[in-house]
Amino acid sequence: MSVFINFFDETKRTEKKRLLLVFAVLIGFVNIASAQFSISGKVLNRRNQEPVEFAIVAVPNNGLWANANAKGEFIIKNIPAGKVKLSVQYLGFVKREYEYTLDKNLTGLILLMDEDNLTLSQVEITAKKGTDLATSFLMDRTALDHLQMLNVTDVSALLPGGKTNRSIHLATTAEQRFEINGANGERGNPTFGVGVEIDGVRLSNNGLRDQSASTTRVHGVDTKNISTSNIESVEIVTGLPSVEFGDVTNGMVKINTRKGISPYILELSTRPNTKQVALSKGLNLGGNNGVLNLNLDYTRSISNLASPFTDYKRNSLSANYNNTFNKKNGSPITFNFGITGNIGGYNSEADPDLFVNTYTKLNDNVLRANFSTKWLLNKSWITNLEASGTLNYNDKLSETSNNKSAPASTPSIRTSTNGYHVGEIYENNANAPIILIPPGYWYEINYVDNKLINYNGKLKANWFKQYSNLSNNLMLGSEFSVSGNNGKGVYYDDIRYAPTWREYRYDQESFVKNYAFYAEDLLSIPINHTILQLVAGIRSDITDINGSEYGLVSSWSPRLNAKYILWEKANKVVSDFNVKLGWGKTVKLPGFDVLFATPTFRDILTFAPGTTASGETFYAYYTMPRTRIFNPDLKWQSNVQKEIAINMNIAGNKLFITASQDKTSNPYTYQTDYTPFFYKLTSQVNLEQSAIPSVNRIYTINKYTGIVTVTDKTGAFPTETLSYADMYTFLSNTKYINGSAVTRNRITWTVDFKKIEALKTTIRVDGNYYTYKGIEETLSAYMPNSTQMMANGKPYKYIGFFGGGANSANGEMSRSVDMNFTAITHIPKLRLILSARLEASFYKLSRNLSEINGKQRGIVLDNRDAYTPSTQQTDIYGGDRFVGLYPDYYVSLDDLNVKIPFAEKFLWAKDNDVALYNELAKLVQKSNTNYYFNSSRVSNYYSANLAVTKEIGRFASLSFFANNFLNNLGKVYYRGSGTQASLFNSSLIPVFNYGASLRLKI
Amino acid sequence: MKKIAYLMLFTMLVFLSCKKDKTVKVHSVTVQLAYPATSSLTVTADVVVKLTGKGTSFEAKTNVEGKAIFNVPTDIYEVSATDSRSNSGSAFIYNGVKSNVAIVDGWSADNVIKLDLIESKTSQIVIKELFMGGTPADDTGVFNYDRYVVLYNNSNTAANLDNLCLATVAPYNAQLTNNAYYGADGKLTYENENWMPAGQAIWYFQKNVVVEPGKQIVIALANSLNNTITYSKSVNLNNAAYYATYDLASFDHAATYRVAGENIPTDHYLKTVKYGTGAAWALSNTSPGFFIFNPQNTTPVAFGNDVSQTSTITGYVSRKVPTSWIVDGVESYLLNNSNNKKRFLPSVDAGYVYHVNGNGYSLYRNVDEQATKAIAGNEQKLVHNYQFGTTAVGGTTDPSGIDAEASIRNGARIIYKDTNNSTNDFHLRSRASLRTN
Repeated sequence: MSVFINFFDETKRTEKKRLLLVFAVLIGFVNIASAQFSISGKVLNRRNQEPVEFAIVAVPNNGLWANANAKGEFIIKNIPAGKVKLSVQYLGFVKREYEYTLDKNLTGLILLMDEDNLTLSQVEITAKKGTDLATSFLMDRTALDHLQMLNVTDVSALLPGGKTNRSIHLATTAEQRFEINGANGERGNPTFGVGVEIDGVRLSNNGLRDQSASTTRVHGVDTKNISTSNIESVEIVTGLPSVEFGDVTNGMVKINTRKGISPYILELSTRPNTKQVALSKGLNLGGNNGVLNLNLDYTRSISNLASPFTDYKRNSLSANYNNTFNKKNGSPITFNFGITGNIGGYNSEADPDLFVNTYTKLNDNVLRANFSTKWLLNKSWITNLEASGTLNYNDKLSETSNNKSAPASTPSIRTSTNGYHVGEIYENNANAPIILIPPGYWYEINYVDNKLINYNGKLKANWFKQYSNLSNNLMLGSEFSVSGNNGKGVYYDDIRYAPTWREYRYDQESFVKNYAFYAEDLLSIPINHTILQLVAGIRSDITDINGSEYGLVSSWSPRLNAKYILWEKANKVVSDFNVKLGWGKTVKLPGFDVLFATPTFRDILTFAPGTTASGETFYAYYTMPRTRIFNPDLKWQSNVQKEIAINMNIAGNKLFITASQDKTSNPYTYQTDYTPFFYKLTSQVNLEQSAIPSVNRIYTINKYTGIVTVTDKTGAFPTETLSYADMYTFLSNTKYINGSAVTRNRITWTVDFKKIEALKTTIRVDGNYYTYKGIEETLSAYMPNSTQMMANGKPYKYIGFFGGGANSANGEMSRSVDMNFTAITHIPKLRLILSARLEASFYKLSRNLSEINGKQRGIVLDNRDAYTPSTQQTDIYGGDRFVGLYPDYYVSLDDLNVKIPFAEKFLWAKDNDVALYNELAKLVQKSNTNYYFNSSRVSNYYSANLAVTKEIGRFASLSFFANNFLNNLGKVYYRGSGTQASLFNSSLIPVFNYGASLRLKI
Repeated sequence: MKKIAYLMLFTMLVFLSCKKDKTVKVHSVTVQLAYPATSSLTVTADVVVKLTGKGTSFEAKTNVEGKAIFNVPTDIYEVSATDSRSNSGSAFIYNGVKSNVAIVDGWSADNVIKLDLIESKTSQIVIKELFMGGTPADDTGVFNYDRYVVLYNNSNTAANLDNLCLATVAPYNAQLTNNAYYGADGKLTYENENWMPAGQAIWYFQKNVVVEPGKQIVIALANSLNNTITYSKSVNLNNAAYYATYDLASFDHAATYRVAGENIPTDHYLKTVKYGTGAAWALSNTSPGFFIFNPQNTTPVAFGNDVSQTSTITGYVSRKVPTSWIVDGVESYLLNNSNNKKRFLPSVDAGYVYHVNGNGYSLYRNVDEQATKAIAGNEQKLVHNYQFGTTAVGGTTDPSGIDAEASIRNGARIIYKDTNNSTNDFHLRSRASLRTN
């Protein structure tokens, strides 16, 4: 408390002066000058005193840096006087930070770097707290080696309270996505909102299209094609990322690959379902020619040990070139170019257990390229200038072969034009609007071709300034990014046997272009012995959707972060103490399914003469092309995050706590509209009196009137015009809308207890308390399925309108407390590290909700078969109650403009118009069980992991892991339903699985 | 002989070694049949009572007091009995079934299991055959859409099918692990209310259909066309005399309901009232419970649309069909599956017939040998040495040994067995009776 009092006293005295100074710095009116010095010296490997060429020595607070030359020498000029933090890092070495008070040039500095291995006294195999103002967690290579990832998403387990990935192989068509701020299955498209970058290359799912155009595909990018062997570090930003990062609402994942000189590293990994071989090398090209990194990765994962045929393969080759030019005059320029190719994917073609010649193949071929250059200008008006460009190409062509057979003609509708069409045999008319596939056996080979392309270019400038102890870093940047899909869409190998299909090529849709401009300022204000850091940034995205009715759309995302360092490395019980605050908005651009009016078709059967003795049937359909309805009011999905984080070191015990709230507004979702449609139906009934023998009939249908005529091939009988029945149906069409807001709250904690030296063991306790609530309140129309008829034999004619949609629940909440207890024993002499981790769920509660405007929606039913409200109960959350939901109102085909309040009419009809009551009852939605709205608490459960890494000299290391090694077969109790379930093979913990890796360094 | 002796010795060794680990206790069990108080008939001797355990079954006949006495090992048993008798010119059937009877340690020989029998009359129209398990395709797959049912007039007077409805009991599969209609007491919740759940939809005839004595009608339950064009082991249902459950407005699943064969008159299409969901009528292809009923004082359409008759369990919406409306039914179990559970009440079907899908097998009614032979001039037209039983694959056969189809072709009049107990009344036929190739 005294600290705060001191702070405010001091602030009062200097308040006016400082505020003026801050303001002046922010707007750049004052060109603050101070004495400047240089630091020069050598970077050496502590083990053999050899130079560490290319080591990066930096003064991060001033944006200054240099690369060591072949002799390990470096020089950084123009460093403002005062306290200076100096860092040195390089691939394969431990990053070191030093602090100096600079009042003259510092020369002859020897920086000794330690090779990153288990002989060191400090080794991190857990997630480290990131150093930026945005809350993030960093997993470096040592941690990743010990974790032994099957897929890069496995690193999520190292987040506070994170859980081990349950996937034990990759041989599935299911995707592996990051879940950072929000879990899969929640509202607000939380996985879609995660930004994933590899060396700055954004992996985007925005252009991916689904085979079924009527469904939405707003979820995150698949990460299976990312080689796990070439990753140097993964940083997961759970807080507010810098404005440099756009198109993100639910967390950022930054993956960095290996760059720098390294020996040959051969990595062999095995686990029952997956084998991996990887070879990497960082080549010093000598002279001033830079460094070339190469990485080869072969991974094969099978789905079934007993039948090792269906697999997922990764064949990855990466190359990265890195060099620094212009080192001598203190204005170095780094240049980096990386390229990665992967050929692989899922394939079940060799599986003998499948029906002969049936299979699924799903390509996961990738080409990623990136270049970046950074120039330390170190001028009075600019410090660094960075330019970068990236390209990501992902071939996700799927091929599925299905065995088909039919005892009669199968209609395959090909027409895209409005009107009535009759079927024809392919041999008679290959371009017929409806092709009749003859009876028999055939294979249908279906392709869905998605070729995702994303590329971008960035230009960014930094301007660092320092006056006295006040430092300022202004960043200005712009980004141009393009995403598109160059795939052919859906097609078939043999058009003769293609089912109902219309060509819709994804490559004919425009690419989406996004222009972004951003500015961010970081100000460090020393106040007494404390430091206040402020970051304010704003980003503007201007999205140009050429060819879409959405046209040009712009959005703003302001972000603010503040960090108050009360003290650091102080000689007291609490040696470090700082507090961070963050507030900001992030925006997620929509996927192509939202933007483009994907054509869909409604085909209504209008003529179905009886199947002939030879199995021929001549179908006719009315085809109506439709496009998804344009919504001029559609807004881009955004998220506002508020966060506070506290970091302390109490007597050697490190404590990091964050509390954050995320509110996702305007999430992308869709609703259905219904419009009535009237048509003519001709059936066998209308044909029964035909005098023309069926074998001699030629059917024609008037495209506009739907009237069917029958002509005699032989001419023996006159042409007949068939009678028909007038029918109606409702056509549905989807429209993308913005759903209701979703809120998430999260408290995370990480406690690293002081090392127990006697046991050479550290204990980490991390966890999170997470709450989620999503309620959809949008008014939505609903009709029963089109085959729901009325008692009079006619199609259903009422449309119900439900606030929040026609589901018993229009939302859900969940709360959970997950904790991990990790004991890490590290014996440097033995070059051994052993970790035992208990993953615990202490609280897991979820509940379905039915609410609108804060009030209960729905009624309690006395039993499952009731339709009218209980006279005894009204609270749907009262426990063990069946719940019904009435529409707010309904309309009838008789007059679609008259909105009839449902409840009133329905209850009246019960006693006065039973026929209407029976029909309206079809609109009533009911909960399936009487525990549907119960609070569903899952009893506590646990899983334990064990992992060991042992280095054998400097040239080999061996890791072993066993997840859920106690093979927990306990039971969990689901309080909501009163049921128990075994943890064996459950969705709660991973199954017992194990594996080992061997790394050889030559 | 020597081999037999060795085998016996080995068997004894196995038994002795088993005995060392586990002692199987045998209990004395008495079952008392209880006839309805309103019935004019009461207990009698020689009624067969059956105890069916997990993998074993025992039979004993009643004494004059209506008691049957067993000595059985520890197990959970189903107790069942069927008594078919005549009185004053009417044929009566008494069926009783009691499930989950635990004969375990602590069972006292003094305990008497009371088996309440329910009285029912024999039917005029019976389900002669139900074919729904699918046919092996000419490649390696199975064709599942050639289902049909044959309804047969088993009486001596013409039968009107006006108002007759087809129904499938919910849940559709007997082997469903958790049939929510079972209460905590191990009984079907509708047992005391005397109704049966007709799941999803019912089918009814567009016009009155008269079936003469000894005649039948065939109703295609899926593709009503010549399925043999593509599937040579299937059946041709494109026949002017046949009927079809074909109502595309309500059920439009393309593979199940291809356009009906042109030979079937459109007034032979049965119509449906659908109150559940789904694009095809959900008759199980493994273990259906199929029944036919006549709505009383209402119409099929009115009954099917009456939401007050709704009964719902998770995944199934049904209408409550009073058991007094039910004309006939057949309960089937999936062979070699331990999860089968009764869905029919004893008054409708006290037993079950095992079924195996995917092989072209059919559920076929047994011949009432005594009644059939009693018809004058019939015996010499009967064809014996029935070849279509499935005992070799664990199924069943017609105990009469009479080949009903061959006998009918030979001019015989067949009276089928109708005890409202499928265990007695049906067998698993190795091929559909309509199959011709």
